[in-house]
Amino acid sequence: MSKPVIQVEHVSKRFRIGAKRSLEDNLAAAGLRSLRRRLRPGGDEIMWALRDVSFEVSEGECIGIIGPNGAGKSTLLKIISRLTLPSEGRVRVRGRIGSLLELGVGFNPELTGRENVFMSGVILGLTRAEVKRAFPEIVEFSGVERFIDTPVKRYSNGMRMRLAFGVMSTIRPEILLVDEVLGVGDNDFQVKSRRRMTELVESGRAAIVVSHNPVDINRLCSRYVHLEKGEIFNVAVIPPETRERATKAAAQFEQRLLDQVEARKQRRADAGLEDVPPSL
Amino acid sequence: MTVTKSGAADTDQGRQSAPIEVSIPVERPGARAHAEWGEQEVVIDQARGRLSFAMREAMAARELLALMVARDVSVRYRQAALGVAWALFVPLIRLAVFSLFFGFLGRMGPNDMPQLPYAVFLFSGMVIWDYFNSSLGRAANSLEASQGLLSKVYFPRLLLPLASVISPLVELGFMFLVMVGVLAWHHEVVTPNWALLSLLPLYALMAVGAALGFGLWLAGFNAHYRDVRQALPVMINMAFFATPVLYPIELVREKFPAWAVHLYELNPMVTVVMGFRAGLLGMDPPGLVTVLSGVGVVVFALATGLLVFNRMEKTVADVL
Repeated sequence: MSKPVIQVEHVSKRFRIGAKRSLEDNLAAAGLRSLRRRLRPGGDEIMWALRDVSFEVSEGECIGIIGPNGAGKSTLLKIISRLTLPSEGRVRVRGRIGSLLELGVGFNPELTGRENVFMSGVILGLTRAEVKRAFPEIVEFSGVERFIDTPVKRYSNGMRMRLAFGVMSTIRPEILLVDEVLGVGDNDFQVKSRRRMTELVESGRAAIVVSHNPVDINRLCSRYVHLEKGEIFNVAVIPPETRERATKAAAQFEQRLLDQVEARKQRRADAGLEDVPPSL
Repeated sequence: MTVTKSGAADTDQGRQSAPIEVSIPVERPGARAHAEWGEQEVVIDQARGRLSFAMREAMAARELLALMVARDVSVRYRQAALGVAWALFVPLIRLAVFSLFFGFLGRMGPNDMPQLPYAVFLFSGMVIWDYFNSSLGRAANSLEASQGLLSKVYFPRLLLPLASVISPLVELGFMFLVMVGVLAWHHEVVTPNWALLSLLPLYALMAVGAALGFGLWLAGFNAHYRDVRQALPVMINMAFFATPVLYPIELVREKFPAWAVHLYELNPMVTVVMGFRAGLLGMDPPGLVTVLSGVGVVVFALATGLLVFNRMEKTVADVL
């Protein structure tokens, strides 16, 4: 039995709230904790964003994280993706992490689409050679080939999102972190990106999906962790029947989107307009 | 320029081929081995913030560093009709202003070289001072300027101040070109010291080290207190007057007691500017004491700057 891909061990994260950022507080941040203790033995008001959270994600598994706003879901993803350190406990990660936390990371509006693809690909952990290899696929997927040498600031929002999603989804990280399964762009592209996301979750070594949408959690994941106020409320296995139901529901949703695309094409044809591919 | 074209052949080095380090589960904080960025096992905990680890990570991410520098440089001249030519025009225009202005106003140049035009004297110091000025400013702002990136994706944070002190080397190069032109123009009154000219890269390296050392300190603090942003222009201005750019060092040596001069020479840019002028104009090179105190300060600033930056950077995503 191989080791789990992600081990979250007694992770806690605390924030001081409302505290004025005094020199003293920052001295504490700079490591002079003992000094701080001497200066203010009472301590600040402390908020635990996460408290003693432990779970494991094994090879081939996808874990869903659910819970209300402020339960600590995003903080947990931030810790696993190394954006911030846990106050206590540790996370062990085996494999290259790619997080779909935010689209368009590292996009500079002045740079062209091509330059941005390279920049964000390398920031996300690829080598330049790898980006080069994936480049045609990224361009093809996002459908912006005509504008690839135009500065991104002249892109429409949709184009920018599609390109960003293309970069993310082509990287094929071993471990995928998803904050909300997003469908971006028009209907057509939404279906395309949702399907790509599903494919990524299924083909990777492990995935963690944060979502408020139970359908997405149920169809993608085999287990879920329920957080409440920073603590684990419940961990449960998602039964296969539930999974099947959710998969069907998602397929229906996607079909509806595609039907709308068809209907719109039909209306355009009836009105005598020439057919413009929707993803341009 | 496009980022894609350059150096595609040597790309597979970098973190891919760096040795893989597997974590050894020693249950003692601080005694744990951590893997490189993007490799097999990564342990995320308080002990992760060790400096040696951060430095190894940054070394492994050379390719990203190169891209960041290329981006910095290309964005600066983008959408300007004259493009990179600006990097040449700006120093030329400044030189013209200096010449005109000081042609009327008189000089503060070295007394033992009366034939040396003051504009040339001034410009030879400006060549390297401008580099220090802009790279220190950019390094100090580097974390704050990239806060969008810092809160969304992990990469070795050290790359930001590093890229900030590397990219202004391009402008330094253009300034230097103009300087060469100036020397050719004035070849009858100015003779470079060819032997000392070969030391210029070393002095430039010292300026890089100084900008990086101080920049690391400032960047770390600036992420937590924005006071740095307010104070920085004044600090740089003070440093400018504490460096013999406008005036020759003899002025300081004549007017101040020895201990004050020693204090003054702790400013590493004193050595750098003197070194540049020694090569370019054939003036006296910095003495051993001056060089040693300057180098000492640079080494100290780099070592402590790395420590401070590393400490500050750990919590940067929480406070930016």
